[in-house]
Amino acid sequence: MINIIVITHGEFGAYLIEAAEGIVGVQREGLRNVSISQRMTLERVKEAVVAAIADMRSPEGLIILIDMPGGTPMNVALPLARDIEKCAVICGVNINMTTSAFAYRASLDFERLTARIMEDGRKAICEVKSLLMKK
Amino acid sequence: MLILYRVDDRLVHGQVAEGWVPHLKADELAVVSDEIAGDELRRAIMRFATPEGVDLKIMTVEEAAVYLPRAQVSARKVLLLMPGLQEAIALLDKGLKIPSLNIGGMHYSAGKNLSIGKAIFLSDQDCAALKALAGAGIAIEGRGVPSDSPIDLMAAIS
Repeated sequence: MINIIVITHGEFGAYLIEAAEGIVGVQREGLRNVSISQRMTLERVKEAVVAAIADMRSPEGLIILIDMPGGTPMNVALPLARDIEKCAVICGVNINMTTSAFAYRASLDFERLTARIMEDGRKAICEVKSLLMKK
Repeated sequence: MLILYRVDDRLVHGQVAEGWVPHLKADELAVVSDEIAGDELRRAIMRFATPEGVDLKIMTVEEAAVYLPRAQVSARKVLLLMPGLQEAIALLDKGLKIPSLNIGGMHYSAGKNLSIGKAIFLSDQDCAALKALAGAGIAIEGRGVPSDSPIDLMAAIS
């Protein structure tokens, strides 16, 4: 099984996981959330991410889902992920990326799952009024 | 073959697209609803929510009574979606063999005072309909997504 870590500013990731689990089912294993609070020192953020990665490393792969490119979650996770084979750090996490990660983590291999998450995330961004309603 | 007979008032949505479709490797979603069949916008929304590579058929009960028996003996894996119990009873009355029924979502509205799990709310009429379906030999379970534990609905309402 490919493991997943969600790292976000504040409790965004915890609520995202709750919502995604409501759609595709509870993930009983292989999932960690790191919610970064403004009250945490950078040291504590690093400790939390190091611990989550140590727990979630898997020969099948590890996917780290992050909210903002360039934010603290990314800046902390990226150097830690550098030396791990089969570890992807994917920014811009939304609910479709999360449900996609949960739904296909057991059936796709690491490369395919990474591609699928990004594809589903991109496809979710759309203006549906112009797409679905005839003028 | 029909791989799942499901009642869910949301019809094509996340639990189906991301949960059941990959789990059962469905080739096709068959939605049976007179209302949706006549509603262009809701048909477009459903097509939009259907995963790529999966076909979507939206039909009236009348059309379904002809189509589904053929789907039952075809090699394609068809997942049947009905918005409510009335569609299941109508199909049964028209002679469709329904071995089992998954109740995925029946959301709250006035009078649906019996709640079971997170997404099943039943009125007295719903309970009577479920009993009629169970009486016809249909195995009935309550379950949102494949990884949930099934709820024995008939035990819960008896």
